[in-house]
Amino acid sequence: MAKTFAYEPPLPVGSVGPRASGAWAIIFIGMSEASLFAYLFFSYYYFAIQPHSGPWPPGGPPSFLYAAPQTAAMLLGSVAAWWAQTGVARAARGALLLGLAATLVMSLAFLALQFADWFDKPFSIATDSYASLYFIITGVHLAHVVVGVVIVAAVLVWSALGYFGPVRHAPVTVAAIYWYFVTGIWLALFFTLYVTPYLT
Amino acid sequence: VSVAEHQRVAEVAPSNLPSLHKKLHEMWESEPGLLGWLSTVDHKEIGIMYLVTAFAFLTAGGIEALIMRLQLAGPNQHLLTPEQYNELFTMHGNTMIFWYAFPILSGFSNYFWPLLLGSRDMAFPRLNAFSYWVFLCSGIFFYCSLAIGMAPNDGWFNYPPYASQPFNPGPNIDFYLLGQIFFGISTTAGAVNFVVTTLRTRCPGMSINRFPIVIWGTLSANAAALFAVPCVSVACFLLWTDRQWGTHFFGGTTDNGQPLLWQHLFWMFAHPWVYMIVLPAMGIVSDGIPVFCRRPLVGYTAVALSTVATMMIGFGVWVHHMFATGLPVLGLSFFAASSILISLPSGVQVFSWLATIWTGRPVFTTAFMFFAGFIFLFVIGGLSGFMTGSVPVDWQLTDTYWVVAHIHYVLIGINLFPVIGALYMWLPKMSGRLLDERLGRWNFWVMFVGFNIGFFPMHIAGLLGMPRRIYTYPADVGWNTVNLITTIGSFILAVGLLLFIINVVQSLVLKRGKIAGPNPWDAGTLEWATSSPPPPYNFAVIPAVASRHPLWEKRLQEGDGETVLDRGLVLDDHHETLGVTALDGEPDVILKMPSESYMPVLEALCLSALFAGLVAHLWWLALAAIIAGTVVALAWLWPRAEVGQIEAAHG
Repeated sequence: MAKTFAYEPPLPVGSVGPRASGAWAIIFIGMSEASLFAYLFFSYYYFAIQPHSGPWPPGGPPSFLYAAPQTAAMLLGSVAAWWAQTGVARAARGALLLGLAATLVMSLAFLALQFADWFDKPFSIATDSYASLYFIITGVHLAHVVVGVVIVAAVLVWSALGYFGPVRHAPVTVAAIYWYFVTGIWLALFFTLYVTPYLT
Repeated sequence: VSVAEHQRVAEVAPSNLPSLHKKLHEMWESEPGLLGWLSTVDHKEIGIMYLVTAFAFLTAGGIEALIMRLQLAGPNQHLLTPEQYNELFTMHGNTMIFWYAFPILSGFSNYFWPLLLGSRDMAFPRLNAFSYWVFLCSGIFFYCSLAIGMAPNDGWFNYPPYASQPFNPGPNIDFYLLGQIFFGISTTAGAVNFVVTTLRTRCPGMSINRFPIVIWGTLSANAAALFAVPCVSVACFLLWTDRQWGTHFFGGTTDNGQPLLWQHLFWMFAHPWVYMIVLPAMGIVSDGIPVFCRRPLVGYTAVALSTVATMMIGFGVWVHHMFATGLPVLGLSFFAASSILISLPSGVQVFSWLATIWTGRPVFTTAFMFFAGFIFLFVIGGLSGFMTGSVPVDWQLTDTYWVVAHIHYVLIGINLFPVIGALYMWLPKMSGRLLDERLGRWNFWVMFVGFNIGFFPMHIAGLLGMPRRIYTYPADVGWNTVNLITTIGSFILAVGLLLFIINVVQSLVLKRGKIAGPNPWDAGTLEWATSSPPPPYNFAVIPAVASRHPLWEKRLQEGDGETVLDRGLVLDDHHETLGVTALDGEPDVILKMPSESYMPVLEALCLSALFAGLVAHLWWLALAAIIAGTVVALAWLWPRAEVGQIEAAHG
C-alpha cells in the first residue's frame, strides 16, 4: 500500500523497559491498596485515642520478638528484588534468578514469623477491640504477602524459562514494585502496631 | 514486520486507503455471537454492555421506588409490611447509587474515551472486560438476596448497631457487605484502567489542556475511586468479621466497639462517591452545551480546575452527614465550612454553562433541553445542600424528607437528566440513527414536570417534620396531601422514562430513526470524526490534534498548528495503538494490545463463586474459588510474544 512518509524517530514497540503499561497499573493499584491500609490504621488510632479503663493495648505494648526479624525479612526481600530488577536490565541472568529466589525465601520466612507471632499471642481475634485490630491488620497484610509469594514465584519461573532480557522485562518490574509496596506497608504497620504503644 | 522487534519507524499513510480499512477491520473485529460477546475486549461493545446493564438496574430500582410510593400514597396503608419496606428502600438506594449511577457513566466513558482521545482502545482491554463482568456478577449476587427473600434491610448506609449480628442475624446484611466489596473490585479495576488510559493511550497533540471536560470529570472520579473505595471495603470487611467471627469493631450488645466508627468509614467513602457519580455527568453537560450553543465552553480552564477541586474538597466534608451524632463543635464548624466551600467550584461551573448559553446561539434539541433542565435542578439541589451544610439547619432537617428531596434533586438532577441528554446526543453516534425529536420533547417535559411534582413536595414534607424511612404514617399529622402529590409525580416521572424507552425501540430497534451520518450535530470533538457507528478500529490512522475542537478548528482559528485527520500513523501490525507522554501527548511508544480473551469472564465467575461461598458459609467453595482464580490469573498474565512482553528468542 502507498505509504507517504514516516514518523521520525523510531518508536519502541510493545512492553519496553519501564514504558510498559503494566508498570503504571501496579503503581495505581498500590496506591489504592495503600489507602486500604490507611483506613485500617485510622480505625486503629480511632480506638487508641478513646478513653480506656485499663492500659492500651490491654496486655501492654507488644514485644518485638518476631516483629523485628519480620522487618529485616521485608527489607532484605526488597533489596533482593531491587537486585533482580537492575540485574535483568543489564542482562545479568544470575542476579535476576538469585534475586527473585532470595525475595521468595524472605517472604516465606516472613510468613513463618507472622504465624509464630500469632500463635504466641495470649488473646484471640474475639477477645477485645485491640485483639480484633491486631489480627485483622496483620492478617490483611499477610494476605498481601501471600499474593506477593505467588507473583514472585510466577516471575521466577518465567525468568528461568528465559522470557526476559534487558528490553522486555515488565513482569519483573511489576513484581519488584509490588514487593516495595508490601515492604512500605509493613513499615507503616510496624510503626502503628509496635512502636506507637511505647510512645505514650 | 517481526513481532520480536524492539523499535520501528512508524509509517504514515492517508486515512482513505480501502485496503487499510479492510485489513484493520479483519484484525479488530470481535467474534460474532454469544462466544464473541463473552470474550470481547472492544471498548465500544463493553461500553454498550455497561449502558444496557446499568439501565436494567435503573429500571429495577425505579420499580422498587414506585412500589414504595404506592405504600406511602395515603396514611395507614398495608401494601407492604415494615420489613418489606425496609428491604425495598435498601435495595432501591443501593441499586441506584451503586449499580446504576456510576456504571452508566463508566458505560459512556468506556465507549467514548478512546474516540475522544484519538486512540484505538483503552490501556487495558481485558481489565476493561473484567470490570464489566464483575459489575454484572456483583449486581446479580446482590439481587439474589431479594430472590430468596432476605434482602439487606438497613438502608444504603447500613448503620450498626441495627446491622450487627445480634439485631440482624439473617444473611441480609451479609449480602450488603459482601456485595459492596464485590462491586468495589469492579470499580477499582475500571478506575485503574481510566487513569492509565488518560496518561497513556491518546493521539499525538492531545495534551491535557485539550481534554474534553468529560475526560476531566471521569478522570477525577476514577482517581478518587482508587482512594475512596478501599474505605467502604474495609468497613464492610470489619463489620462482616464482627458478624462472623465475633470481632469487636462496631459493637453489638456489648460496649466493646464503636458504632460511630462505621459512620466515619462509610461517609469517608460515600461523600466522595456522591461526587464521583455526578462529576462525569457534569462533564458531559460541559461538553454537550457548547455543541448545541454553537460555541466553545466559556471558561474551559476554570471548569476543568473546578472539576478537580470539587473532587478534592469532596474528601474533606464527610462529617456533614454526622452533624447530629454529638461530635465536638470545633469539628462540626470545620466540616460545615468545607461543605459550604464546595459551592464555590460548583458555582463556577453553573456560571460557565449559563455564560455559554447566553453568548451562544442555542439550538433547542432534546439533548439541549435535558442539559438545560439539569442546570435548573442542579441549582435547586445545590441550594438545599448548601442549606443543610449549616449545622443548626441540619439539626432541624436531618433524617427528614428534606434530605430525601435533596439527594434526589442531586442524583436524578445531576445524573439521570444528563444521562438521558447524553443518550439523545450520543446514541446516534453509537447506532447510526437519530432518536425522534418530537417524542423527545414529550420525553423531556413529562420527565421534568413529573420529577418536580414528585420531589419538590418532599422538601415540604421534611419541613413538616416527616421522618425518612418510615413505612407508613398516621392520618392526622398533615402529611397526606404532600405524599399523594409525591406519588403522582413519581408515576409521571416513570411515564417520562417509559417514553424514552419507546423512543429507543422505535428509532433504533425498529430502525425508524433518520440516518445520523458521522456528525449530525456538527460538533467539534474527535468522536464525530469517525463514521456512525465507528469501525472496530476507531481510526484508520491515528489522528494528530492541534486544538480542543479538531473539527471546528478552521472556523474558530484556534490552536498553534493544524489538526491532521486525513493522514497519520498506520500501526497495522496486529492490535496496535499509540502510547504518548503523560502531559504533552508526544508519541512515546507503539503499544501492542491484547485481543479477545475468556479470562476476564472466567475470573469474574471465580469471584462469584468466592462470594457465594462466603455468604453461604461454604468455606470449601470459597477456597476452591481462590485457587481457581489464581490459576486463571496466571493464565491471563502469562507473558506472550504477540503483545511484546518476552524476548525475541521466544517470539
